Amino acid sequence: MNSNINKLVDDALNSADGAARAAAKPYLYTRLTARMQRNKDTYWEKAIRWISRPAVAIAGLCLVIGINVAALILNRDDSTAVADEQAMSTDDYANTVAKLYDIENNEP
Amino acid sequence: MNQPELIEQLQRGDEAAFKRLVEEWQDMVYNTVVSLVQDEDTADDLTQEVFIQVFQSISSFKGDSKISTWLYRIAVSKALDHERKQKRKKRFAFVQRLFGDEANGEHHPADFRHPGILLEKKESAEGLFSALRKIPDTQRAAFTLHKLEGLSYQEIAAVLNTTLPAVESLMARAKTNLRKALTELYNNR
Repeated sequence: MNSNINKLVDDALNSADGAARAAAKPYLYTRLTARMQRNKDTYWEKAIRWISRPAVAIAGLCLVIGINVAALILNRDDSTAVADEQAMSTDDYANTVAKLYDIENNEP
Repeated sequence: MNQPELIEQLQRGDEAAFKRLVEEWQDMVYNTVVSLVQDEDTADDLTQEVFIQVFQSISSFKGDSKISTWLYRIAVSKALDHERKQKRKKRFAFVQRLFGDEANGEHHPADFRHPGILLEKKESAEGLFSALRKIPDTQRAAFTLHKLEGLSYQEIAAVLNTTLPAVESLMARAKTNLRKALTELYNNR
């Protein structure tokens, strides 16, 4: 039994001796040049393929969302600042007018 | 035509030279790849990829080694990369199956028949190719280049970018591992 298996193993190990070279399928060069022609993309095709890659598309989307959020936050701060400024200048104006005409001052 | 002349023509983008290169070495590349990936359609595809890479990178070829060595190197690297991808796909398919998804992956045929093996040795060779799938990639590459491409250990060392003693060691380990795998295979039959 054991010697039988050893013989099978030896036969298998030596089975590649004297093997001929496997030949490539016919018209390899024709198929190869056709494939290379197909792979020759234009600049725009390459750019579109690059943009449509999931990583690039997701990064682009995150960037757009980030810019929008940042713009929103900055605008809110600006509008608060403008409102404060407006309130301050109104007070200043009121003070000035009050001082100018001395409305509240009844003393001679 | 001598090698420097052919390289010079290839680097100039001469299509006729590229055609000569493909026609002269296509069987060598195909035989190497088909012996490693054990699938004729995949080997055809990878053979084309090898020549595309040659066309794209010929400008960086300095002529330090023979063209055949360079071609063998690209062919072995493409074939082993493909095998690694297949292994990853199989692992992923296994995980998918655990979650109940049906996975589609490319699989090796159960018994690969190398077209160049002598008729009387076909049955034994099926066992050998089955066992070759169970040994590490570099051992498989060294064994295949030696047995199916007839390369000497020195030539294999040049292809695998290693030393002669390293190839001798690879071959010894390959034979030991193949013997183990074959014994297991025949014991289970």
